Amino acid sequence: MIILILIMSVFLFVFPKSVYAYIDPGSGSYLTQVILGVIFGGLFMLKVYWRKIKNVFSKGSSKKNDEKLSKNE
Amino acid sequence: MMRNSPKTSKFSKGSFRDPSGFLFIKNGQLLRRVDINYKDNFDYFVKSGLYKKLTEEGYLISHKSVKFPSSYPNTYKIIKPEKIPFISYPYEWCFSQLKDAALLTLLINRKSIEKGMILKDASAYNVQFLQGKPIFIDTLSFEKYKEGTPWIAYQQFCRHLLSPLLLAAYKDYRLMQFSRIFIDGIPLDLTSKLLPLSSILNFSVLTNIHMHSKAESFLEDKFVKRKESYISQNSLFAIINNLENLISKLDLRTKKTEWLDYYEKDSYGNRSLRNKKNIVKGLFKEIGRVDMLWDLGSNIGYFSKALDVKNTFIVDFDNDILAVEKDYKEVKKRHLTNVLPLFLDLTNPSSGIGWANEERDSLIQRGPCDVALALALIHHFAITHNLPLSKIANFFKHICKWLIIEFVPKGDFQIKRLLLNREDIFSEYNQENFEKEFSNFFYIRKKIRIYNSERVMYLMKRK
Repeated sequence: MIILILIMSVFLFVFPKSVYAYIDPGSGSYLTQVILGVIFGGLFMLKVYWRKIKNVFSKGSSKKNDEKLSKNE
Repeated sequence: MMRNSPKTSKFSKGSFRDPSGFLFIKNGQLLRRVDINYKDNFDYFVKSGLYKKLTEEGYLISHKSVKFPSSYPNTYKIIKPEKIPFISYPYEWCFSQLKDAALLTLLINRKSIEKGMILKDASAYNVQFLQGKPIFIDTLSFEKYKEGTPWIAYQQFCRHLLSPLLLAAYKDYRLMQFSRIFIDGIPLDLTSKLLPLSSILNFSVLTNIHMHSKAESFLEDKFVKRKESYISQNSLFAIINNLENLISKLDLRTKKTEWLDYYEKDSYGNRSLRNKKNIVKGLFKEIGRVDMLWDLGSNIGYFSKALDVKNTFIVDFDNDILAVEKDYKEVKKRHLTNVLPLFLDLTNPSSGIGWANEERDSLIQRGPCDVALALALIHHFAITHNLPLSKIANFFKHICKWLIIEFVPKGDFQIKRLLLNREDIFSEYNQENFEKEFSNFFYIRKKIRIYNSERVMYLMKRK
């Protein structure tokens, strides 16, 4: 998480200083969604796989985790 | 953008931006026209079961179809939405109301995507309060979702709902009032500048606000080839999840204000307070049928709730946002369906804002109410804000048909407190002048002195 924050902070300071003006509501928002989609989508998939791995090793709680997963999905 | 409206009807002044339809008032009824160009989306909205699901859960306002003459131009349907007793605006909501509105918008967006639609509009003005809960009121904000496309209203959501919440949580709750200046939401670069540097340590704030704002300014004069990128449905769900997690954890840092524990401090003494409560109840019963009551300077809504009325809609107004917060939490906890707590500074009440000052109504335009309660209030106007009694009486004339008002005399401990460090220049502030000035606009029907106090309660009817 710290590494991600550092990468994003670099992104934050590399861009030119912002000026308030009329902005097309699409482009910046679109780029942000693409980036967030990759990051959060990736994290979400990691979470799913991590839970699956955990389930293999903890038979007793596997059912409970599956329920949790399907709720999140 | 002006479009043809049916004759003998009046445009709703806040409804002109949406190309899918608009609101208008006919024969005193609020109706919504669905334009022909929205037909496909509207039909899909109903056939997909999304409308049914959202209205059954109480997330979206329900409507009935209304017959209309074929002479109406460009009209697919006319619908009559369920009535909202009192229209309120984001700059009048407390933190938890804004938070609930934001979470509702995200929830509706998620449920829409699941059914193959998406919110094309995430304006905070699309949320109102009904039966004590937030409800989405714009039936025409839904469009068919194509996998791979972004959420078009994401930036609007961040400006209208996320920005004021973060500014309140990270900096100061008074910054929520920015929504009143920026009718289309707080610009993200301003939010980014105002948030403390430490906010970048929260990854969701860093990305949804700081990075988002930078991306906007970086791309403002550049062309982005959108077809090259693809945002999957799962990615959109992940973004929505992330926003939900961020918002649901937000809370106000300030927990205490001057008036928050007003009743706990027992300013009156228990017996006087009980007596005052009974007097208010008695005066209220004299009035007869009351549909709308405004409690002005309601604090946590102690007196309006003490009336224990089910058929009267009560709006509690106070300028202490933490008192409004406490009131709203109690309304939610007790499932009070007829009480709406709102933030309002009566010395500077909500004005008409937006295009031609007409998009959002002022307080006076949303009245008059049947009854206004003004308890332990008038001395704040007269002493703290130097308002002449004639001006105060004139204001009340505009906002209510009946008035239950408490006169607090100079000898009262609260006024002594107000005059502790200032010169007493208020020679005209006395009971005689109070009655004289109010009699210009009201008939005084009753006056009762509160037990063990110099304070007097009045029941007045507008002339």
